[in-house]
Amino acid sequence: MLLLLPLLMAVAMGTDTLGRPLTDDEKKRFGALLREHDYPGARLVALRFAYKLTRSRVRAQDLMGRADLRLVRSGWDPREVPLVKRLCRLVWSEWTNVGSESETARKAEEGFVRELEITEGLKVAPPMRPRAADESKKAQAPEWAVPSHEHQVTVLETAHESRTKASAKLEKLRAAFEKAGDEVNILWLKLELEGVTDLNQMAEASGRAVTEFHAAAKRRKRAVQRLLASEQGVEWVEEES
Amino acid sequence: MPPRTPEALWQRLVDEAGEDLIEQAAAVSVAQAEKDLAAAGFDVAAERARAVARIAALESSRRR
Repeated sequence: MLLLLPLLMAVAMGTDTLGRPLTDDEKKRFGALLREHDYPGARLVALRFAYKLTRSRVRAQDLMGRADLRLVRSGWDPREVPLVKRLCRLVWSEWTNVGSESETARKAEEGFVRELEITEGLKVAPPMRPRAADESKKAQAPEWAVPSHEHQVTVLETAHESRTKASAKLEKLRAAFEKAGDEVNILWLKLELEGVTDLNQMAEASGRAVTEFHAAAKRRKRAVQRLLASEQGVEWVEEES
Repeated sequence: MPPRTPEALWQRLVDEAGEDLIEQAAAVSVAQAEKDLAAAGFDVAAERARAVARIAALESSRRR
């Protein structure tokens, strides 16, 4: 355990991973780690990225604020990724709504639990799967083993909503490919949904050269970037650098 | 191969679309970021102060 101590001190554990707020010592270590890795400088680089995405000072600051919160929630391991890249990833994740959608689901679940506590007088622990190293959590979240009907319905509804949204986005993307006459990407989308993920297999199945599928990847990324920007009401400008 | 779910495919597309952008954004120097932010009308000193204050708040935290 003593051997692990220096290792743990070099990693900022997030509140989501810990399943609780940070202790004072953990906050201090987090702060020291951020100072050591020039968080103020890295944050400016990430804020510039947020501005590039949003084209608005107010929205960039809001986006950066959400990325800051996510950093504390999800933690950071400097051995895995530099701080500046971590912050830029969080900015992208927040901007593409990936984070906020899961946040919405989490808040809905917390709201349901609070409602139960108020209306039913029940004290319900949040349904967290206990980690292998912390089996005692089972006792704190007994409903994990036998989820309530209401909880199952909430989970199913969230999953259904998520699938519907994703399907709608894929349909928009397909429409964009159609508009651009990008037959290769239309085919790629269809085959991917059918479970064909290997480009050689795609080429074989379609009678097209595999190089066409490789070339389509760049167009696809740009189409997704434009679609994401459009959903946020931003006109996408290709990278200037 | 089993069909891929729309959620998984959309998530992969979003991740792929962000890869290059994140690399490019993170490769920018702090000095360049300061210059670009100032040109866009940001108060760079205030943004820096905000980050410093966040560190200070973490380092000086005491449970109430």
